[in-house]
Amino acid sequence: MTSQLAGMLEHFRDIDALDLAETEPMTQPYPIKNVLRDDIEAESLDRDEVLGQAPAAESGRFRVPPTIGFDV
Amino acid sequence: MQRLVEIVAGVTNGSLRASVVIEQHLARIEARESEVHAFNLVTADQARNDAAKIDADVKAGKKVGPLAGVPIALKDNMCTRGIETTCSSKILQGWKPPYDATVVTKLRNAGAVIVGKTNLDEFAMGSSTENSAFGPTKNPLDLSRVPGGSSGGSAAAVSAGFAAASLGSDTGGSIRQPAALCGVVGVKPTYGTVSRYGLVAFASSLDQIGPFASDVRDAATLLEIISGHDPMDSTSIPQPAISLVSVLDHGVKGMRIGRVTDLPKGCEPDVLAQLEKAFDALRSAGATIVDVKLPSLQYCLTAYYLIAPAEASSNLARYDGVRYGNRVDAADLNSMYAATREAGFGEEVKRRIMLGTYALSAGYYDAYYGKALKVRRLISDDFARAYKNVDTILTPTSPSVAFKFGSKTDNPLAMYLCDVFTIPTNLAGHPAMSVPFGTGADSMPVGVQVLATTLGEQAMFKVAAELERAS
Repeated sequence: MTSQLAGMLEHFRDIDALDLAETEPMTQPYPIKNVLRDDIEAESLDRDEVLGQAPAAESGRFRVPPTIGFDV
Repeated sequence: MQRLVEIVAGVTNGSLRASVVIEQHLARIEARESEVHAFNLVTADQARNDAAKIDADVKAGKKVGPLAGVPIALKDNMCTRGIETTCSSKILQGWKPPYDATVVTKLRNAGAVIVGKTNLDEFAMGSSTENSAFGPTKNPLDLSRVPGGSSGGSAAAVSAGFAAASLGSDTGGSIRQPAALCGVVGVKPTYGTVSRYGLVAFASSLDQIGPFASDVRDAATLLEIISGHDPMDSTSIPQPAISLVSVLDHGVKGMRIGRVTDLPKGCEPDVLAQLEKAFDALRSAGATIVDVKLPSLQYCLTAYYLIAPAEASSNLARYDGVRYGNRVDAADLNSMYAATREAGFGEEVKRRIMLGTYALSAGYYDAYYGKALKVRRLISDDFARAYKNVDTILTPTSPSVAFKFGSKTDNPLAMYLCDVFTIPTNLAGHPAMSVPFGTGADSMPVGVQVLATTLGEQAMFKVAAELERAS
């Protein structure tokens, strides 16, 4: 995979030929900003149903392995 | 096989029972699914129950929806409450979403009968459906060939008559290319036309849901129903669905159709020959063919394969074995993350995550991702100039007809080139659709792609309908 990735990155250098100094970047099709809804209480997902799909849950929370006490 | 509009008409007026329709489709699935593998899951029991309910409503004289009794297949990256949604990835195998995608809610409200979840390239990353963790889908027209991808299962399901229509998602051509390779109609609408709420995200600024159907009218009917503003998707365009069926018989007299004079090379001669015939047909029907230049088209592949993996690397960070999907246990949190992702993701997904994180990393951001975003602007500007002089543009959908299994799997760049004609549309956010138009090598179907500008679906469908009449 390393050589494949290297080959791709080499191919992607084709855009180096372009003069992009004055070009604005385009991150999305439309300039939509801060789409907000009215602050009205609405139904949310069922907690038990959500936790029921987690690999491990306990006391209404997701359960994970220890996060401290190991070299990370 | 019955068209979607015929099923709706028959079920609504009582001359056709939804239960009979669904049994006909389930029988076809029973007969051929073992060799095609269009589905990750067939929801036969629920489909039978839903069809029976529609029949009961018709009998009771109740009003039924505009898709009453229509068997529809869903790409397995759209959330279905309580029904397994895998994205054809081991990391999500067994996951049952706690909610329905907006498109699923709209389909159910319209009376559609969901027959199952279709196979795809893992997380929609691929052009042949060979990247599915659960095995490839085969092209129903020739089982030795790919159906295209990433929505290969949805295309194959319609082509094989397993469903009257289906939904797919298109990030760089994943609806249009498989539609072309399987000989069906496939539509990528304007970005923001169809809600992405409940579509498992791949590259959020490019992803868009759209329909597969046997013909243009069915595709237009289905697209009208799934379109429209959704407050649950902040990128949803705040306007109602565009009327499409009403324009299908308008013809193309007076329309200006763009012919790209600097189309990227590498297209099979048979495919180009069909494209020329398509131009001839439109000219005969009263359209004018106008030459257009899109000089940045040659850089689209690079821009796309930097932007899409960059967005994917961020979107797929959520699969960490904590909140959903599968986990590989380990002694500490970081080891668990690594072991889960190592075991859960396939090779192509890992390749794109690495490519994306590299393109976004400090020191390389400006050289890769930053530059790709500027190329995206150039492409958008090219299209804007072209659409001052034309109403739609015609290109091939795919450079080739359906290819043999394994012929591109060793060379990711060769596989990426399958998307060379479809990617530009996603970068610009425009609509485009593939319409079957004749055949190419080995009598396999060729798709012609009709492109239009933002919210130009009416012009696009007029041209598509004319091409269908001429083919």
